[in-house]
Amino acid sequence: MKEDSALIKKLLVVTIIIFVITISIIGFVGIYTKNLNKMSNLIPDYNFSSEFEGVREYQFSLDNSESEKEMYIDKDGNISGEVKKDDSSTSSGVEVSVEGDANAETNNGTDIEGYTRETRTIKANEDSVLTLDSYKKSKSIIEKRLEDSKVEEYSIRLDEVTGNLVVELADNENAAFFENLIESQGEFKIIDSQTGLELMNNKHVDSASAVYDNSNGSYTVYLQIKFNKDGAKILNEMSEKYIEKEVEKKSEETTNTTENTNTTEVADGAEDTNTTESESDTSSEEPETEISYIEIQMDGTTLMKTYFGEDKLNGTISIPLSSNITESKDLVNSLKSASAISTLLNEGKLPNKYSLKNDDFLKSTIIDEDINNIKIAFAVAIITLSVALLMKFGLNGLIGAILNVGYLAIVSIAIRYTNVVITISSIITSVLIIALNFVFIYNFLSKLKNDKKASVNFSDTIKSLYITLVPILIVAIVYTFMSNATITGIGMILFWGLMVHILYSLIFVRSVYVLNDK
Amino acid sequence: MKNKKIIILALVLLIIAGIVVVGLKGFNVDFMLKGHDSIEYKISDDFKISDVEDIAKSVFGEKKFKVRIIELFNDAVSINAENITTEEADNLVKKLDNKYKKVENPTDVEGENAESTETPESAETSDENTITETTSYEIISNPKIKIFSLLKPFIIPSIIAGIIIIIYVGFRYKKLKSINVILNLIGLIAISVLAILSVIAITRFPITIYVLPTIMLVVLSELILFCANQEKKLKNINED
Repeated sequence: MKEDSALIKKLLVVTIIIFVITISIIGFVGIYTKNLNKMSNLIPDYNFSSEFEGVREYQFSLDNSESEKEMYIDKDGNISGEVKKDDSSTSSGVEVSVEGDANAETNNGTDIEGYTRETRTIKANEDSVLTLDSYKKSKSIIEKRLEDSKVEEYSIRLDEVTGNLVVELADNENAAFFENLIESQGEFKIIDSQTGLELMNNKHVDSASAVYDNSNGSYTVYLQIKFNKDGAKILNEMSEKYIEKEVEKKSEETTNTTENTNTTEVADGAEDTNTTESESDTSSEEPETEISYIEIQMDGTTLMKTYFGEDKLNGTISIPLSSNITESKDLVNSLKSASAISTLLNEGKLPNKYSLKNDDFLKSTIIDEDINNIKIAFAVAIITLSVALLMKFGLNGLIGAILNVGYLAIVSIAIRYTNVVITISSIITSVLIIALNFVFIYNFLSKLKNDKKASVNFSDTIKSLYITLVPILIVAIVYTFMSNATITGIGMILFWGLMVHILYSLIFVRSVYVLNDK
Repeated sequence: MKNKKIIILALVLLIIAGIVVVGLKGFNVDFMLKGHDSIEYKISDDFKISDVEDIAKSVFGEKKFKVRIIELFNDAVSINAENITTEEADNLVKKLDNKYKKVENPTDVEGENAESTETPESAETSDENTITETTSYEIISNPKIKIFSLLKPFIIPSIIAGIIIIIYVGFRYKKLKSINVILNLIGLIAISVLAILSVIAITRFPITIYVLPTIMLVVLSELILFCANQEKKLKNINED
């Protein structure tokens, strides 16, 4: 009976060892099947970082363009918006209230009260922003934009003399999207649509976010902007001026003009309305509808032309960016675009305006030969450790060496299935993982050699090891949750190394030696 | 005890020497991380990067340079070096043209059309008119990467992890006088990092992207050894 039990134990040990060897082969060699006349590995490839895969390098230079523009100038000599070239506004005489200048008036081409009109040379980068402080601020804002957008790998070089920037990003499907995020100046404006007078800008914005609403089975994506105290005050003033209202005209006019405008009432959220703005025949003295519009602009592009409804604003407006979305893919893309605008608003306007000068894909300086050298170095280290175990502990050492290789194979499979980004830092950190298991097996076998009680020794060894490793586990967990690829790479390698080690030790190492116990 | 004092003295001297070297000369930052110049050159044919490196070496001599392949189809290179002069750039592009530029309608003494894929060696030895004009180029100025920007991603997670570790160590080794253990741990890590940086500064070992993760590895290893040592002390106290 005892002999049978011993035989079963030995068979179990052999089975586990064969299983570990099989796992090792799968981990280090792979499982190859024929796929389209080509042998392909069923085990996923390693997910290498841009340090290995190459980067996209964008060279941005300061925009040197300049143009003559007619601008509004306030009492203090500050520019307060560009005069609208198209003065054929249908809503002459509309009252606007801007930054304390109530009752300012427009009169088709004449000055607004409190403002003069001057033709000035407007430079993309005024002389006042051609300073090192501005360049550094621009770089800092771009870094924050990229971090907000969870860009895992990037580097920015600033030429402190010229202000030019060189940005390296991982070359993936999002590279062009991030390039836009860098290049956009992020200049936000709300202007009077009729005159072009600037009503609000970036300094009035508190925060912005991308939100969506689902109604009748379709989604609408909004850019929600929350204004600061000053901004909220101006917004309230605007909400009283830029509205649809009825006016009675006493003078007789004969011209009938009708303009159909697709617009959205800001305060009413997503409701799209077709409003008819008209100057109808007033000879009958019927009230006519007159609408004063604002335009919400980002980097000179109008996001929306609108007017205010009757709802309370509470210092917040929601700008519908896309509507009638039914596909989840479209929803994701729309939210991504809205998030990009909200990021631009949250991080503020770049002091400098940049234009893309050059865009190159740079291959990694780490060539295949280097990767092969790394593999060889790891192989030599593992073989050396295995020989050391064999020489020191004989048969137990040989089993330990096989178990050690099996552990590393499972870690390699785990990091591939969990999509861990392999960086130079994570490769260097993996040395610790190799050492960890070796030290564990070495300590365990040393104790086993002395008193031969595998189960007790196993508990002691693993307990003392993990008490010692608590700080490393803390580092692993904290680093794993960071957004930077280098940091996450270190954290993930440590995390999976430790997790696999606990499970592997309990399932395989313990079983083999306890079953092998005499 | 005597050995410990000698080690501490040696470390202090090493760190002082390191500070002096950094103060006088700074770190030997790899030129690719420093501000450097580069020239991009398009090669249509298949090429070996070692050939381009040979040409660059013949132009730059002892000056450090690095050739990187650019573009997905491996058809262009970026040659990077510290302060590329116009003369060096002219020379480099001329040599690259000789090696890689296809000859268009070369003058043929035999009166026959030469092959457009004529090799540079033959172009050099044949009539000089075969390569009519040098490829235009631009010396691109690449600003430096600040060492701090390499360090920056490590700062916040390391501070968070450091605080949690200190709290853990404080609780775990209460019997060993928490404050002393924490100060020892901080001191040990600070001294070892400074010592490594001093060695790097004194030996003029170039600062590359590999340095920071290597220091990280040393710090993590020290953390393990420190805790193992404290566990032993704790075990002894508990047994007593």
